[in-house]
Amino acid sequence: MTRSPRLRTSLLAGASIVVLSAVAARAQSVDYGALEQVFGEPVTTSATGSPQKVSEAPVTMEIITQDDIRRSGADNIPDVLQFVLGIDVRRSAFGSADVGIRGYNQNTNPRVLVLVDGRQIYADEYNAVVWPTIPVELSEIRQIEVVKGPNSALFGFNAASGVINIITYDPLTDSVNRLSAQTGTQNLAEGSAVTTVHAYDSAGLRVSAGGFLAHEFDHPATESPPNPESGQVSADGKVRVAPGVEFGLSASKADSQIFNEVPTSALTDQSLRTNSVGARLSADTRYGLLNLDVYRNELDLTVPPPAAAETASYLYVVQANDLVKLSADQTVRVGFEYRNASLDTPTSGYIGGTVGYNVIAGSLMWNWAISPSLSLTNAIRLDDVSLYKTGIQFNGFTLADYDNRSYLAESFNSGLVYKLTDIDTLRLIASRGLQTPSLFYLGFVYNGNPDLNPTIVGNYELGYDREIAALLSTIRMSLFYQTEDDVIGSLYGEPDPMVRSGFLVNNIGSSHEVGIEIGIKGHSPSGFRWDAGYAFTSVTDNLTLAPTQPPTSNIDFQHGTPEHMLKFGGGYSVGKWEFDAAGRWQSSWVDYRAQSDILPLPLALVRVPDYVSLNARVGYKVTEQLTFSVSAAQFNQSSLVTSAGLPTERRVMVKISEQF
Amino acid sequence: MRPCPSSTRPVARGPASSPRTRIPPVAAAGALALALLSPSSARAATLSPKDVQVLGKVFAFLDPAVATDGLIAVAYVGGDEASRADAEAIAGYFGDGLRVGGATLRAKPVDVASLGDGSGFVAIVAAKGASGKAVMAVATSHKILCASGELDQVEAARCIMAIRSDPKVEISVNRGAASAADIGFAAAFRMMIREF
Repeated sequence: MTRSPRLRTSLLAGASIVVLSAVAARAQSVDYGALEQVFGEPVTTSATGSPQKVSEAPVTMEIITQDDIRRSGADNIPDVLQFVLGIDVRRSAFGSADVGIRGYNQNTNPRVLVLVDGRQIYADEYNAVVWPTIPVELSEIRQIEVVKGPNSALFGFNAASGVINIITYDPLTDSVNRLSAQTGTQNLAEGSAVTTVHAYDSAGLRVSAGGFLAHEFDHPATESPPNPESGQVSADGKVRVAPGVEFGLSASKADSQIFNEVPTSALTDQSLRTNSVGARLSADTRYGLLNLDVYRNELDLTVPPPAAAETASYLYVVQANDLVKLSADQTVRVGFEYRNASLDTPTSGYIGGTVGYNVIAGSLMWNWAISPSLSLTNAIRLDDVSLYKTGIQFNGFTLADYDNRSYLAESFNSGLVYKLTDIDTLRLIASRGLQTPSLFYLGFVYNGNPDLNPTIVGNYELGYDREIAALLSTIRMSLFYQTEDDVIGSLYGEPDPMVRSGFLVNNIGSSHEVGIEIGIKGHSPSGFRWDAGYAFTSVTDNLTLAPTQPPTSNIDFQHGTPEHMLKFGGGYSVGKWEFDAAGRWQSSWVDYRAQSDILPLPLALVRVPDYVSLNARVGYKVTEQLTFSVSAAQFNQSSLVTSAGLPTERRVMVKISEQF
Repeated sequence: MRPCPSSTRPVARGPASSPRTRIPPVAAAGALALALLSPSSARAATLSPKDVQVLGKVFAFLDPAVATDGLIAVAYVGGDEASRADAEAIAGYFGDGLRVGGATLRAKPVDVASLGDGSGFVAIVAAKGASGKAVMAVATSHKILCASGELDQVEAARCIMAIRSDPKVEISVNRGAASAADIGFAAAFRMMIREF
């Protein structure tokens, strides 16, 4: 395990700054619920760090509300996200899914930053998210904010394709008390409980627990995946220590056993144990809205033989920022971040010891309300990254090569929002994001490469929204062009020019894409709600890898991104009944599957045909508190090839839920 | 119990509900075409029921906060029947009061000339034509909020806050007027409003 001597000093220094500044604190910090009620639409901080109406954010963003989550009938977050325009969900087993935004999806997708209440939940080991280990029950989520396009200037590394920020209810101001039990096909048994207690109007604690047991999707006789199971418990507490000063503590633990992909495109039996602790202090002062956030995540991964791996990854983060409105039309946010991420294995393991990096980052956001109809937001961030390694290496590099490796990485976001009329809004966006190499790719004893550069993602976008009052609806359109430089390759690597270990993970060229998204969402006064959308994404790779047959790399964005996606949905609430249905059509694409889970791995190319997937849910309110629902996922097909992994099966679920 | 994120909710009459209508597909397509071609619809000159609901929720972000039950003066110009009618309509939108945290705020029409020094009121809502020096003098001396639906009056520092809820909620604050009345707002709220 790696510990940073600077962590304690930074923490104490940051805490002192905030506590001293909080003396003159006034009113309250960001209260999503109260602000949403005032402004009549969801409020987000995921675009600039400043609370904003979603319609005014200088990014293309989708908000999935708690009502949307409930009415989707889904029991996991990727299934909720699959009906968001521009999102591609690549499911390879019951508990294994990769979520991509605007293409470039791949196994253990490292391009999408997933956060819970602004805190990172992906594991730096692969820079990927293991969705079943997220310590959040669906019923405690206020909203899921999806930012399309890079947002590294606010959130740092891996906000390359976009950001998914899961916002939970506030334990201080919201009261969430829900129980649910669910069963269904695949022998599903699932339960969830969330409760909140308040004391003296100035303290709140929300506790949640949940889990599931199921049977894995059908698989070839040559494979013996475990039956997926997962369980989590979490607690989130907050105290208002003075008017406008809030202090929060949170902790979580999750255990999962799933059939899950690794970067080699092999599916492996994985046992994952995660835990996290965090503390947060916010103060509304005359010097602005001050925030200090400190947290630690741990992920322990065990893979049984023959792949046999045992790893532990740790993340320590200290973030401090001040958001202040300097004048009537100028708002700035100054941020500082320290983070230490490390990955440990035994000496005999694939890291041969410990690999890690320290990051010190500074950021600045400036919003200028040029006129009532025109605003400009610019954000920049500079990350200073230093690698280190202990243990053994067989890749031709020395430990000193790691310890001497450091680099600066810059990112920016710039957005111009122009309200043409009361109902028309135009967005012009330019941004530069970063996808950092994973610790695995940096430190693997055989193929790891400390000289890997982060992939630089450029995004240029024109967006347009129009409200149509007569239909109580909004049309949203985006036209974007993205560039990817220094694309990070795969473990299959390519011949190393320095002829160190023969093959290394390398930067393998560039890629670019153009895309368009057109969506409309509306409702009627009679209770009917509907949406529809189309997304087109075309990727062109300029990689240094020569195409071969059989393939020698699983990096193939050009053929690995579905070009067309069509989605549609509708619902109706009448009396005690709720009816909802959603569908998506996706064009064909190419995926890869390793034929073994031990290196060297022969790769097989799998063509995923175009498919239509339809979901539906019917809910009935037995009483004001008790709801009974039946939902079906992919009810039009008993089995669908949705990736090179296991075919996705139809799921039917019966659920009873109580809120009190 | 459903999550109750709101600290502000009406206890009596809410905003007028929209009539229930069904839109045939052909009409919907026509409406879509028209809507794409037409500009925004016009709005009423003073506060609507929805504006009043928004105003009630704004109190949660005031500094100092409104912590006890109170009365809001809906000020009108004495002798101006249009102004008085406007004030009576606005006061009517408050119904039996708006809940703000643990407090209930009620409203009554008051002639500007009868505001006195503002004692007994937790805020002033300026009806048509009522914004001006007299209202701001009361707001300043008693350190209470003045709200209006007339943006030009707020721009001219004749009132502190303008509220408009259609087609989207827009809240505008005159910083000078707010400062004169020693009215502050939560930082997060300030980030989301227009100031001048």
